[in-house]
Amino acid sequence: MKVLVVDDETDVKILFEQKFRKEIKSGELEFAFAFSGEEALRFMKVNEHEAVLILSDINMPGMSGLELLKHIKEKYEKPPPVVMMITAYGDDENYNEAMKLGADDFLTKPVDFINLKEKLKSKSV
Amino acid sequence: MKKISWSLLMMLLVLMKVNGQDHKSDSLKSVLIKSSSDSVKVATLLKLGFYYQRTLQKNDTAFLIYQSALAIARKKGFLKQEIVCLGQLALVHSKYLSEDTAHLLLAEALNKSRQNHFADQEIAGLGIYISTESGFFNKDSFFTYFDRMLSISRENKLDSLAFMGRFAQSATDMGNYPKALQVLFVILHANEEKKDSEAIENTLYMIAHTYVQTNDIKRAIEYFYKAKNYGDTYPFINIFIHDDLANAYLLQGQNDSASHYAYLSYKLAVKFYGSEDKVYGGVLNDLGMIYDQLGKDSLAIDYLRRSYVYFTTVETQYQNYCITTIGLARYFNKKGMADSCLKYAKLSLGTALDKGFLPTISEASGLITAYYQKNHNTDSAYHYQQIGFEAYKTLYNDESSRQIQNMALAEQQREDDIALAKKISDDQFAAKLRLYGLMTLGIVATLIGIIVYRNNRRKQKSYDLLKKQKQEIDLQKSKLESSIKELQTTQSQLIQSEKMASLGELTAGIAHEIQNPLNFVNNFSEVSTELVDEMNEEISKGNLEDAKEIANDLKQNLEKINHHGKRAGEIVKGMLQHSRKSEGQKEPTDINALCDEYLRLAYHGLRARDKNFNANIKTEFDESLTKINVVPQDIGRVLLNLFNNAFYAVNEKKKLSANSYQPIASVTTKKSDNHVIITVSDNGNGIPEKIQDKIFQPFFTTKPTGSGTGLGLSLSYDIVKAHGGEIKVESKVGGGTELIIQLPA
Repeated sequence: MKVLVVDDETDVKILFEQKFRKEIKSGELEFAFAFSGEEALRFMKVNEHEAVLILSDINMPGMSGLELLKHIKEKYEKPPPVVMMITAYGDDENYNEAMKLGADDFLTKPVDFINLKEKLKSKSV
Repeated sequence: MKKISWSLLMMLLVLMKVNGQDHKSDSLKSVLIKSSSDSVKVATLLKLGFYYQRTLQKNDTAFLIYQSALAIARKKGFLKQEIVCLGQLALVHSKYLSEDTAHLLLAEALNKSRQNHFADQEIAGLGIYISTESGFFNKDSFFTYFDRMLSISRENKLDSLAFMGRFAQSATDMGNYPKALQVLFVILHANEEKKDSEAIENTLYMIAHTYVQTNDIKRAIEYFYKAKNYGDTYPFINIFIHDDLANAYLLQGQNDSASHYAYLSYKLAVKFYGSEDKVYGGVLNDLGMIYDQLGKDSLAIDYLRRSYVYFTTVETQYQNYCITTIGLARYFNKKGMADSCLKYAKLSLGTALDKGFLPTISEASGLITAYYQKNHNTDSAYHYQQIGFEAYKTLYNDESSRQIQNMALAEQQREDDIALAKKISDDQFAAKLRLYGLMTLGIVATLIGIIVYRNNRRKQKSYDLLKKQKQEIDLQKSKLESSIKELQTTQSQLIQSEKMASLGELTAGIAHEIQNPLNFVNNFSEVSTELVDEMNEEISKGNLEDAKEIANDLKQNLEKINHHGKRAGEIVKGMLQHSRKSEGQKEPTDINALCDEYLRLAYHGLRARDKNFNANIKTEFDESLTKINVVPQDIGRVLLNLFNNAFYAVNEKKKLSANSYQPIASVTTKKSDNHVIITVSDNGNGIPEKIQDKIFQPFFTTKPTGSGTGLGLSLSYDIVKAHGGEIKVESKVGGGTELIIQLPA
């Protein structure tokens, strides 16, 4: 299963690669990274339907995670990828907005990687 | 007012008594031509001189005649005639030429009379002495001369009536009316016994005049009428009787009668002097004053002007000159002609000061003071006010004694004036004199006391006023000082609150910015622990290649942990610096890093407060930039302000725009010669040109009330200026805004 991680913090890439090194090694999970909403959209356009799960930060300069979510849920109908939102601001407003736009899950920073691993594994089954 | 006309009159009286009948000048001239005897010549010259002086009022001719008479008398040793000549010349001098010369001439005449026991001549000389103006104003010498006159006349059994007349006049001049009246009634009765109609008329006139001085106008008018009955015979006196009658009616409030007698007085004067141009100035003066009082302004000014001409070109009479000029000043003052008023008031004051005419000094300086006050010339106004005040003080004193003496007069007048006067012996007279002297002394002492007391009180008052004013000024000063202090405190408080306000704006951003690196620190350290376990596993398996790979990752992770830890530390440091009150130190600063740091802080701060906010951030950093010396937190505050404004601007535009609007905030740095240029731009609504020059002013804000302090850009401006840099704005409505900071490299 290919997972697209969208975050403006570039160190996220190293972190994910280390956290999921066993899964990556076994081929269980495959990761791609985009450092802005715009970049994520470009990636999806080029690699259509490759990523089935998108992990996106909400607070990013330029296109925010919510805008990206809205874009994805509106444009990719069959089948729309699973989108999980991650944010530092785990308030109701962000949560409700994300759910309204069709987010499949909502995670708050700091990310609980054990929990995330389980969620990803359950999705990939 | 009547002193001069009266003194003229008295002279006439004195001279007539001493020198007997007058003659026509023609017959005298023929005697003069025919006579071969020098003594006859001198006697005739003297008679001719009297005639010119007294009857024709031609003093210049009389002067020449007396001088030739004196020359002959001296040459031939005619001692008596020499003395008479000296006396007459002194008289002319005192009135029309030099008073000093007059005194010298008289002193010579008196010495010669005394040495040679010429009683007649000495008396005549003393009489002249008393009638000169200087004698007038010198009380002591007056009484000395008068005593001497009386004793000589008694010793020589001479008629002392004429001297008594002089005495009465002087007593009036000195304000001693009861004494004057006593003496005048004695004279009147003596003259009535002698059936000397001219002397009677004179005495009646003088009595009337004295009553005017005592404000007993009713009696004054009564005596003027008695005198007037003799008027047709003696036209010269008659002029003044009518003149004074007019004045008396005026004082009585009977204006029509006053007007009538003034008119008659002038007609008599014209008849006596022969033509209108020759009328004596004293008459013109009196009439001018009367018409002024009657409110007949055009007549008043006409007479006053003619009187002025008379006393400046024909004859010098100080008192009349002063009365005329002050009359003119008063007239112009009434007419609102301030400059003319000032001119005549000054002329009047000059002479009045010289001669000591107190009422004129008081009035003239009052008019001058008013003029300068109106023209805001405070120094001059004060100067003349002082002059006036000094005169007033003295005059007040004199007036008071006069009033008190008037009370004595009223008491005395209950008795029969004439009967009383007849009974008064010399001893009683002297006793009374002493009594009056003592009374006056007491009164004067009291008045001086009052004046001194009043002066002290006035001084105390002005001192108190000054003190009060000073206290008020001090109070205002301290109020002002505390206001300034308060303002300074408020200003520093405002600056601090602006700092704290922007810190508040930052807090959310800071939390986010610290949260992120902390997450990385935590995550990388966690994953590193896992990696160490894995590495140990690989080592025990003997897979050294894999173990080495993990070791490289571990090293990278530790670097990441260190990096993010430092990142969080920098943020905390920046926050502390930002809120610090004391001024920071300049230090070499990486402007690119500073811009990046504060841009993030601003962005996340806004994001934290407004979930809907978003903007594209573009950065374009000149990598060739070296560190420059700035106070980082101060420049950081400037950048924070500019970023906040840029984000605010794009956000405002976004709220009102279609979805197609892409908000962009950007920062670029550039090296240019000796400067570093930082440009913060946005694609917001732009700033209208008319408020562009206001944005750096304190408290100027376009944000809604409560949203901005209006100090951000003002403080930014001050900070950039303090760094020797410049900040300017370039903006176009609808086209966004650029703020350009130029700092010395």
